Amino acid sequence: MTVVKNTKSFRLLPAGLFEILKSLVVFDHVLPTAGAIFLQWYLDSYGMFFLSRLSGKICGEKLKSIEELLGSDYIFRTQISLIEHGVADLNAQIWLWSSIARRNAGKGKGTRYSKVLLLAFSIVRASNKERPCKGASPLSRFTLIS
Amino acid sequence: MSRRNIEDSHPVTLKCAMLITGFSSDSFQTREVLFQNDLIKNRFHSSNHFVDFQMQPLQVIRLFEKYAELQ
Repeated sequence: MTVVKNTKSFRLLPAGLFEILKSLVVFDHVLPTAGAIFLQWYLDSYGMFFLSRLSGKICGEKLKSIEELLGSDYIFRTQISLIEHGVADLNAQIWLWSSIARRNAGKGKGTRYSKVLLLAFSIVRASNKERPCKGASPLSRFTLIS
Repeated sequence: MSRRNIEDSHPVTLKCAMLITGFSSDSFQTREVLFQNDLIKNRFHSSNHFVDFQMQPLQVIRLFEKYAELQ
């Protein structure tokens, strides 16, 4: 474990974040797959944490607070319930999170997290269109994003 | 332990660690990036292709400065 003291903190604007994402996912011929693996790993590992962070509530209250955030939309609540019980697969989770991010951004109350994540999904989707995936390529797991 | 420029040798790991830091906290801290880098390494160290490396704070700071200037 790396132990570091007194290191700097930075403020990255959307343009900077976009450049990082872009270099990870889109324009390099090697990195698209690596970027997709990262997103998959990130969503697997941090998904629920992200949802709780997005809702601004502690983890124990996340389901209720996310429902409040999304309103009474049945399909959203169903998806959340499936994820809560470990039923939904990764594609379903990605669909939900990208939808949440898109809704938040559209309502003008999106956080930096939702906007950046939405940007990431947009890039992955664009990358999918440009480079159709076959077989077991990691990018094929993101095809349900609409 | 590699002394190569980390941005050239492990660009994905470094940038992923940077992004995760931003996703999970309110600011982009070098210390957090190094922590996330350790998590990523722990995740992938069992891979046959994994090559261990050390990420230095100055390397992270240099990259943050590069992206922080973009507006």
